[in-house]
Amino acid sequence: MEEKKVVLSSEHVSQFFPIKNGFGQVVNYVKAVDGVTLELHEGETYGLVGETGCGKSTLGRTLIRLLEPTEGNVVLNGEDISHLSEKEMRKYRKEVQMVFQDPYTSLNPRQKVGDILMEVLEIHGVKDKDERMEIAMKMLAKVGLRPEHFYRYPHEFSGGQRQRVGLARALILNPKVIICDEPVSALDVSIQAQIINLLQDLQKEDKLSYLFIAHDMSVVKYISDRIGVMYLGHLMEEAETEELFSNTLHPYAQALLSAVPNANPHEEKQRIVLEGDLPSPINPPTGCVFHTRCPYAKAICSEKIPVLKSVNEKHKVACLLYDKDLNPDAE
Amino acid sequence: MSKEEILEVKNLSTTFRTERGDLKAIDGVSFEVYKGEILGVVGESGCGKSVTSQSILRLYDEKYTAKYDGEILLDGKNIFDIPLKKMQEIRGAKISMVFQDALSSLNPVLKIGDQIMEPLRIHQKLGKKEARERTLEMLRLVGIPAPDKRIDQYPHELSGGMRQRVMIAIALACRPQLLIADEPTTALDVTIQAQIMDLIVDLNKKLDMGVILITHDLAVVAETCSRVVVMYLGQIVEEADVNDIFDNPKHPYTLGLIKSIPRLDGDPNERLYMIKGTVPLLNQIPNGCRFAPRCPYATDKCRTNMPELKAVSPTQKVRCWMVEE
Repeated sequence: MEEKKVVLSSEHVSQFFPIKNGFGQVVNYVKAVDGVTLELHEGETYGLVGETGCGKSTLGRTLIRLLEPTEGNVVLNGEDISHLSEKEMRKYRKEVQMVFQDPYTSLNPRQKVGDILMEVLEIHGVKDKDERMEIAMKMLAKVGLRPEHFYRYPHEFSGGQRQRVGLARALILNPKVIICDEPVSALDVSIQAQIINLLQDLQKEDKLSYLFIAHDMSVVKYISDRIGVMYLGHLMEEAETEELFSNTLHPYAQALLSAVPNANPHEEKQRIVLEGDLPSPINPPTGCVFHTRCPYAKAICSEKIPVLKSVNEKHKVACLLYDKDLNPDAE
Repeated sequence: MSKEEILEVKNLSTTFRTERGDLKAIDGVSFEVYKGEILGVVGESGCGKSVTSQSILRLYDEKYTAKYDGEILLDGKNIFDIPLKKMQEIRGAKISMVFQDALSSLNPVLKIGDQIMEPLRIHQKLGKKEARERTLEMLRLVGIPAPDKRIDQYPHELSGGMRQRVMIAIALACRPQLLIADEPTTALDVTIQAQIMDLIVDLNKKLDMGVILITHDLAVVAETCSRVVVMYLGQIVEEADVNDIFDNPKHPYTLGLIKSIPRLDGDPNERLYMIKGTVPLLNQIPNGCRFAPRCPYATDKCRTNMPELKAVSPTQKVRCWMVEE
């Protein structure tokens, strides 16, 4: 098999947020992302799923270096960008851009759409105003907006159009990677379909790579080539889309997928209901973070920390049930 | 099999008075709800789903903002004939409602026990001790673990799923005939959503009440509802059994909605269907069929004449000229 080019990767990335007491002393940490390793290949869509609070958005923000990782490295095109300063980061910003969830709050209400787009170009060194305008106009056409929209304010647009503006802003610097943080979850189904189709068209045109963060499984399944499942800051399972759905290995991923409703009234589904609530990321459980809710948990699960290991070339899982090295009783 | 009708909505219209003139948010909506069924109401934002449900409880201020027309029959009596003060005897007792955002719908400074007790004390005039007993029973019914501990907690101490369970407990405390659930799971994760929907389906059977489930999520509808009403711009465009809606949709809007969602068992290489354009504003309602400007099959007749909601089979009604010909 041909080796795929890795454009962006994280190596054991952790993101801990300090909790301070009244005297400003750090008393504990919120372990939002804990040792996540993943690779994003050129031209692929990597879906990142998990429940609220599992750290998927934090990971996205760390990969784009809105946050500096507490531990581990973020590597872009072979260069380590994890601890660069704001100034040094600037030349890499062109490469990785982000589309946010809420199209209503991620655009400045006091700037016209044209200015929103041209500001990006100005910062990144396009000096000539006419040139900036020309590029911005082209971008508007590319995302399916009309030239007159250049002179309008964000409030004059519908949700779907605003998300198109957000996309135009992300694309205007010709990035290689776009991190999409729940780009369609605030939109109606008919608009959602328009944006998803647009994302796919743009990907084909420019060989873009997407990190697609979402909680809607059917959308993620539709758009992704590979999917990673996160739980409490850890990556539990990673596989190619078809493989993940046909051969789900991790008990958490099994429960998550079984909860997804399908738009087919004839289908009877067996749901796996998880006991209890999500543990706090301040004091995550010892061993495997999922063992407190896992229906198959054994004594060893609370002692040893599972690592993400390949079960075949398309599939990785972090679970002691499948790891013979750490757990002699594994299948 | 004869079904017992709980609620009949007849030709309901709700008009809001605004600075820009009167806006008719709902225009001539009619449907029935039967005992023991879950009726799904679907449509995009701004199509009048929530206005319909809130009109059933007369929640809009009739003096200044809203004007209702038509009839809503509960036990054969028109709700609009009841004096406003007496509406309190219906809200929470005969018809109750669960809202989308449980955190902002619960009172943050009252213990959840007190909030569940309130309707019992008001409607059923129970004493404190009895009400507390019933509250514990309700908490158990909606599946809250350790109810005797939870009863004295405040909403902020509970997770999102728990809060929604408390909302359901409040709504069902007086054993209403009809529960209106307005996007009850939109703010929740899929695993929690599955639990809450299972709970609603389970209680619907156990308590033999009617449920109106308002949602934009067709997958949830497919898994829980027995009948579906599809709304567009304040009108019903299609009404049918859930199987007919998914297998044999007759209205182009219904078809468009179903085709535009990615399905778990669908083909990822197939492009998603797009309904062109967006829902128009209420002050720009098109002539003729309201869906005509976005409809791929629209003819000149569609753009000038409004079709009626007509029965195509005993269980399916459609508002479209194509079906009539």
